[in-house]
Amino acid sequence: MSGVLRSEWLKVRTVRTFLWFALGNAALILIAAISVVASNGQINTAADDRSVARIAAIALVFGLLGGIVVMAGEITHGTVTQTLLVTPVRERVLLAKVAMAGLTALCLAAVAELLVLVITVPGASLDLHNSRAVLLGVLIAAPLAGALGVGFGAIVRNQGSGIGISLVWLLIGENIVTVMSRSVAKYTPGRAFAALVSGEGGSENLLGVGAGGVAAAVWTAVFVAAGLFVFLGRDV
Amino acid sequence: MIEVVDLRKRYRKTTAVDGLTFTVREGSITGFLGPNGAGKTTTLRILLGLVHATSGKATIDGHRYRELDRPVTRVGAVLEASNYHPKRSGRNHLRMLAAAAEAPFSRVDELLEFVGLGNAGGRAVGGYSLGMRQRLSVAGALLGEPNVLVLDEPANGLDPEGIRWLRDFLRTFAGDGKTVFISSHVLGEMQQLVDEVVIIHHGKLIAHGPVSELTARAAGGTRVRSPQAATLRDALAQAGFEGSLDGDQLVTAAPPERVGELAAASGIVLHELVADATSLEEAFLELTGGDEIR
Repeated sequence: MSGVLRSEWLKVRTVRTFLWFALGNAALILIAAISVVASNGQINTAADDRSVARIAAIALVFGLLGGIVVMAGEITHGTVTQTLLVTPVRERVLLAKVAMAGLTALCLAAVAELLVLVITVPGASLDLHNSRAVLLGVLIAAPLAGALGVGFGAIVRNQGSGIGISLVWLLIGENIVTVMSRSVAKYTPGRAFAALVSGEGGSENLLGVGAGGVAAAVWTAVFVAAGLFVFLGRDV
Repeated sequence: MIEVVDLRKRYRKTTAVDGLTFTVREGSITGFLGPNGAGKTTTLRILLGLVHATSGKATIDGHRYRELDRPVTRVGAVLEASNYHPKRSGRNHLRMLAAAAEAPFSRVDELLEFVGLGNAGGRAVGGYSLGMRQRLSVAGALLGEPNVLVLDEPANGLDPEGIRWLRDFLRTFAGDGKTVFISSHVLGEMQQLVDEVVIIHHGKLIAHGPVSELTARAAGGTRVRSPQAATLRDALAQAGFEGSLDGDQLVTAAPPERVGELAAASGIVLHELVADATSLEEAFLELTGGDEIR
């Protein structure tokens, strides 16, 4: 398994896609964090602290997209053929991709949190005590988002379509579900992850942190299992 | 040994492989021929575990590809030349495979030199010519120093020098007692290279055997030179075979074995007895009814 993991690490390291993801992640975090400092200068309540800390959750989106690229990118470029010639046990390949996407997403989240803290603790007096649940939630949610991306990538098989569909779902699809039924919308994948990183108890729109974490984990397991099922059954 | 037993692959309305059975013996170079859409690539992909068979089995040394322990140390495969990330360098592509195969990175540089890409290893594969990609594929197939090579149209895109390089390499590889199973549409090249051929059409086996046997069978006759050619023609006629005489030469539809037996029984001296061979391409066209080769 270590060889397969090492191979996955080389795949991530030897193309620029993930460098662009890292730069995009850092740029958006910087813009958001600097905006907070420039507009307020001070954070007054614990809710403000959590709200500012949640800027780091931008990394979840990049983690999700990274997971899609790790899996669907191989299929799009056809390199999955050679991957499977070396490692024909497909379960092993998919698990290695899940691990690598999770690790990549975790790194993106760690960098995101570091940037948020470096800018907003001195710049806007962010209270670490108040924001710790959010920061922990982001570190837990990021690997789940990466893994979910791998499962989704195995289902859609095309990285462009995968990225497009996931963004449309997050930006539009979940809002449509919310309009149709708020009680159902709380359990959608995006809302489940939002709840996990909220650092707060449940509300009308979101589950609490614990329930959100369970829902996010279930969604991840469902997508990884579905992706594995498709990956095992499909001809390459 | 590669063994294919009653292999079938059905897509919704199409049967790509239809009860295919053949073996590729160890230490031989076996060509895999068939017209466009005959099912060659599907068969090779089933053999390599990339496509699921509807029924039957394809094994290497008695095991399905997926069951092989560290398969790249047993089998090397060269499939289409397009399976590369265009932005990744050739060296990094091989390193990625080497890591998964647990082969040392030093092997990557050795192979780049071996296939003539030593100076191009650091360049992105997107800038490679088709021939360079084929060479990179060959390098990838050799990472684990396998005893069996499976190649799907490896000469595609190679210039004449590349084709000669590939032919020399495959001969050397097979000369070490290793097995090569190769599909190609360059039949002239195959005739020079392979020991045996497997020919399929519409997913079914239509011929399997040594090249010399198939070409002779397609020509379907024997050419004889004898000072008693006329006597031999009469002996053949009594046995039910027609023959045409031209001086001391006789051409007959009888197989060489039968001609030799009749000549011996009649005490006829022979100066030459040869199967009237045709080219592999002619034999192929006759066997497949003239369908387009690919």
